[in-house]
Amino acid sequence: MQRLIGSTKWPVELQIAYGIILGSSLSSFIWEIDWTPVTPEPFSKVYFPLFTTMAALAFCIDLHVSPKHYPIALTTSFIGAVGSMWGIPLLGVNAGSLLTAFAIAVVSNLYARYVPPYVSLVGLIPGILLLVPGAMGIRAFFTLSLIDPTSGVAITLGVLLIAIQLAVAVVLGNAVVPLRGITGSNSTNYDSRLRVGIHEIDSPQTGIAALFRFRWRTPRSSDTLAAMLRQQHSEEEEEERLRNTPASIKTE
Amino acid sequence: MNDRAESRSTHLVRLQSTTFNLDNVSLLGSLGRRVLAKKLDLHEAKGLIKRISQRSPRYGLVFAYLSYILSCLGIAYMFRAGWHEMLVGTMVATIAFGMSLIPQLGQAFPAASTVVGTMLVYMVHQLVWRLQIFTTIISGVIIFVPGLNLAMGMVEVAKGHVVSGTARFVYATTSTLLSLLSLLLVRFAIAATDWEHEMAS
Repeated sequence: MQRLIGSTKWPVELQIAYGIILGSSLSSFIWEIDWTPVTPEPFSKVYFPLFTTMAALAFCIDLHVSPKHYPIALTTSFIGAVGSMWGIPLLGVNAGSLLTAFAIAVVSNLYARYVPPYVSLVGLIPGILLLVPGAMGIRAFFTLSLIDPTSGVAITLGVLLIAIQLAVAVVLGNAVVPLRGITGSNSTNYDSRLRVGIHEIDSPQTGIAALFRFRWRTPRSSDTLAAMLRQQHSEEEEEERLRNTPASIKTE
Repeated sequence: MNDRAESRSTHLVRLQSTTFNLDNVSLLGSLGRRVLAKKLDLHEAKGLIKRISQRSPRYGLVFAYLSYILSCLGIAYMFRAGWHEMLVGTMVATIAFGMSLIPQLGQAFPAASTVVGTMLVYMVHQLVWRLQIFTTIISGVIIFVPGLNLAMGMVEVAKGHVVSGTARFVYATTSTLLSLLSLLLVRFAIAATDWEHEMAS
């Protein structure tokens, strides 16, 4: 069974669209579904910071963001949420997405210019996640398969257009706030690696501890790399020693 | 992956899955800088890349479950859903998380959990509260939706990282086209049923 369904990797949007279609189909056999539209009463805007923080924290966990990068990830997510909630309805999908993604790119690049390890993606991806039209893609598949192929294709092209807007916004952001060059990393004294202990490397956990795993300790990237390098060297020395050991001694 | 705007070369890091691990991306970025600054030779860097890819995830299953629930609540709010939709969406998210732990489902767990989640939503819609069906289902399974590849592929190509960007973009585009073709076939298959017209209405 696993070989049958696990060997081929299906696009997830397609899986979800098929899942909705199949689930709807099965449900319609069991119940007489009431199809009249429902308009729920939405939550007040007062709760916007609360729910935005929830979504941002979820993205941080899902994207394995280190706790030391939470401030920038939460900030860019908040910008993305504001753009999604007010910017896009006010300016339209194209201009709204473009300006919001531009703001996110500028903030991420500013962060990456001054904070090690000088990687802008830690701010960029959590921010544009709310602007990426993933749910729109599913709606496109759903519309295409069940409601109206023409509208479905139009929505699909809209998804592509928004992706282009996001790319343009990031390029504009890079033009306004260029990323830091390689000379920036010279400030870190890499020779300090010998002073870093092996404990900086992630130690494997099992059982309950693995379930509740949360690495609060976030050493600098250079320290983690140095510790890994030190472990690698010791393992290579051990392999070399074993290789040089005569076969007669190994069998003993 | 290259984080420098003025780079003259493209550095390709092939991720094992389509998910983004920003913890490892930070480490890889730091590693790449050291290689370019000639502070680390390629042999050492190769070994370190292998070690970085073998690191255990930063967060355990409890936090993974928390991310399912929090993303459901956050996205439901963005979709202007009510508290009924949020509550049922968290149930769908719980089902999705549970099914993602079943190894026998392999790569098909998003489809399986969406089927079960959709049936749950319809059941609540019929028997307990009237719901916005699509919003509720999507809120519950939003964590699976990987819309990022297309946009990131375009971003990389636009920034000049042609090799990695093209690979990501072509993968995302091909997946989308395959999905569209498959759905058109399904549409032909179910075109004759009355259920289609009920959905359309």
